Amino acid sequence: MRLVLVIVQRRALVALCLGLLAGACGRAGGDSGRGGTIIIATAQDADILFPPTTTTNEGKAVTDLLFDRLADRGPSLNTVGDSDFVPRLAQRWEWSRDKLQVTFHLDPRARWHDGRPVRAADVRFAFSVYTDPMVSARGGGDLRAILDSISVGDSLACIAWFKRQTPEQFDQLVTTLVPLPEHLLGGIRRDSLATSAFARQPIGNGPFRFVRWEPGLRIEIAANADSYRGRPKLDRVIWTVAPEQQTLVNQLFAGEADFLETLTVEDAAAATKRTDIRVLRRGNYDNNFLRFNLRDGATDRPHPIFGDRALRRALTMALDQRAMVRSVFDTLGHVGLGPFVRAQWSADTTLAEIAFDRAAATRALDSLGWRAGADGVRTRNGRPLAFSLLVPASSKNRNRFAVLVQEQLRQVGVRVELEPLDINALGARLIARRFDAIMDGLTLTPSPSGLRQTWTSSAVANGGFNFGGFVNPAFDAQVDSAVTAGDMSSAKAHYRAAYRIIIGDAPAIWLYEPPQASGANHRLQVGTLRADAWWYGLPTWSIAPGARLPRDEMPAKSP
Amino acid sequence: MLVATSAFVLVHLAPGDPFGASIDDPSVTSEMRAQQRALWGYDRPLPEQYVRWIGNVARGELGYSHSLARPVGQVLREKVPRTLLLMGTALALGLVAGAALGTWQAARRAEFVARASGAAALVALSVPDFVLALGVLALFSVRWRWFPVGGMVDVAMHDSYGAVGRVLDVLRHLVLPAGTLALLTTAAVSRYQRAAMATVLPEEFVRTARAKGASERAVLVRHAFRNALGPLITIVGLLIPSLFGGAVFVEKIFSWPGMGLTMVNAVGGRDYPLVLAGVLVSSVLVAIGGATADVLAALADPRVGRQA
Repeated sequence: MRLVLVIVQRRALVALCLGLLAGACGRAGGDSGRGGTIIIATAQDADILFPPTTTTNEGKAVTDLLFDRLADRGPSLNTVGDSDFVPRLAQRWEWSRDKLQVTFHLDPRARWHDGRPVRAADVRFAFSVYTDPMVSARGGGDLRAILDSISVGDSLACIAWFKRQTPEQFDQLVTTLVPLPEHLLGGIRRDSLATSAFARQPIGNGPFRFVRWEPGLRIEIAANADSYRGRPKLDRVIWTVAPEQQTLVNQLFAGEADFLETLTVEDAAAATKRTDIRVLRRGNYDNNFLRFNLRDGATDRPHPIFGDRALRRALTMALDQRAMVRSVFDTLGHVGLGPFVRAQWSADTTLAEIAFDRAAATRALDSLGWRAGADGVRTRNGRPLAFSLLVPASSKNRNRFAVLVQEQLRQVGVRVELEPLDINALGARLIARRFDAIMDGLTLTPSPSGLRQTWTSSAVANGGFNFGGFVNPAFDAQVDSAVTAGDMSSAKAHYRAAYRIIIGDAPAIWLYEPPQASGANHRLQVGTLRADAWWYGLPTWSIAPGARLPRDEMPAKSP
Repeated sequence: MLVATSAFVLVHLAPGDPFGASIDDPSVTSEMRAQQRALWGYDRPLPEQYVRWIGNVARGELGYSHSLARPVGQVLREKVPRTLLLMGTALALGLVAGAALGTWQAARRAEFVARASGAAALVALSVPDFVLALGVLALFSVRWRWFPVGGMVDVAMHDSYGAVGRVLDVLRHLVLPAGTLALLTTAAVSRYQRAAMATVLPEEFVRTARAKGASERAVLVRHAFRNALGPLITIVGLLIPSLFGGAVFVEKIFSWPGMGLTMVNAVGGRDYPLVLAGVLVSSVLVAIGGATADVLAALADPRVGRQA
């Protein structure tokens, strides 16, 4: 084995010398902070590298670096109007007086990675792809709902025609629609786009270009030296896949990886004790809650237990959420506030919550006729106050919370039976509405308008995410007003009113916002990590000049 | 056909489908999922899906993996050799080392060292696989940094090596996962081999060989070992099918991108075409394993062939 190591090291030394030579020649007089390779350890491989249909975080990260949008959210992550949005492929844009048209003027320097210029026709083509039902594009339905069409003014100007004016129309358009190369994809059948070679070896227009994807092993992208936004500082970014969290952490600690997106609370604590690792905290959009089924199975009848608003409020009151969050996340997590997260602009941390008060919860249950039996479990008319709680078996946090919920409710005479299920089985039960309660969670976005698809009465059927069947017309009205409000302050007021109603009705117990921490090797110079997409800043990341490794000198290969 | 049909029915009995996992992401709408189901024919009645699938398999078309977004055949061509490399190496090392250790233990069964090594083998067998793998990883990769933590190649440097360097790079990554599995195989095989040798060594033909002046090594290797091969060959037959999926834990812990891990993910993601193809390949390996063991047993002991 010693012989093997010696030979490998010797080869590496030769390669390193060649790389150094090539690097020196290539960068004579160049920027000393430029260059280098970073390795990102990740638990999941990308599903596909086609922007309209990728659903995994890794797929989104890679495609976001390969493909630029027309414009992008700015540091405030505002989603109303177009203030604070930053130009990308579009150098500028202008609105019609009625706000139903916006004309984007493309940057004439923008090029696809095959050298062809990015044209307005590519934007129009992308719109036709996204809105084609054959493609099943992510966000395609939203685009169809807000946009009538996109037309071409001249080769560098395209006009988006909105169906009606809404506060977040610009955000919805530019964050959903990714321009696609018509000259490469125009001849491919729409239902074959996601399985085409392009979807595995994409040609984009962004700051990085695709190099290779070996599924389950690595994804590599390299700096696009000709990017109209300027060359990224790094030469290469490589994602390496390891399904086990402990292996990922070991890779980070052993220096084999430079960045790990997610550290658990325990990993973060271990990392802070090390001098070579930096723990980076960031906001996030994970909203985790215990969802009640307000209906009796899939019927319209009220659930025999959770159909009662007062009982739901009593159960909420019986849970010491602060203690639970502290028990699971130490001081790093946050108690859930409602159907929103703190990172959203509509968030209101001053809203009245149903505060923990076990004695009051006990009194409320007594007054509702639920009396404690000999076994400690309350009953009413012969029916025990007991229910099944579905838990996704793969989620460590939700399992921990489920156990704490079970114990705290036991103390007020409620029997909870935990039912761990794999994610597919759980999803099937949820969609069929065959559950009493579930440890649920949603990944929200900077836009609070998703509330309509998750909690309003229109989301009970029609493929919405209101699986518990919560219906309150006053809530619906406030959400509708918020989503269509003309300005942010008005929208905020309506969201606040809607949040107040739903928190009072307690169709769920909003439990926690988990902490998000990433680990980075100290040699990495990282800016602020964006809460909705940490990878957006990657073009500006660099490696400290005195902390170069042999891998930093390896030139990127051609795809 | 029976295996294929059973696998098809069982995999479809499990709740969910290939497009049902992203239930916590509101941007993946039920409309999108329904479109995907229709596109791939999962909205059709099960018998119709079965007939279409079995017809495709008969034509050599294994379908499209939804979780890996590639044709299943391509996935198998890529992943199966990696698993065969890992398990083949581990099996070869484990068999040779286990047979040698078992033979040595039987020959020196009265000595303390032999008894201690037997106890050590028992301990190795008793420790859960993943605990052993994590221990190996913690010591050799994290603490001493002698070997990489995981993966199959150095993702940043591999391409800069020459042909020999690339092979050595793979071997360097192979040491810990294959070594862990080899250790377990060695422990198991050595116990069978020791027991088999203990049965053979008191036999008259061994005594005769010694009486004729054969050296102790010749007695052990040429006479006793060959007659004790039966149980070892049976184990080989049993171990060959595990080449395919038995290394799940080691593939996961060492991030070895092979078939075992792929199959586990495919089952979790309800990737029907990939699961079914994996079951078919696994069945073929079971059959090959059994047949190979029969042939080897007949070669090692001609009486087996005559009895059959």
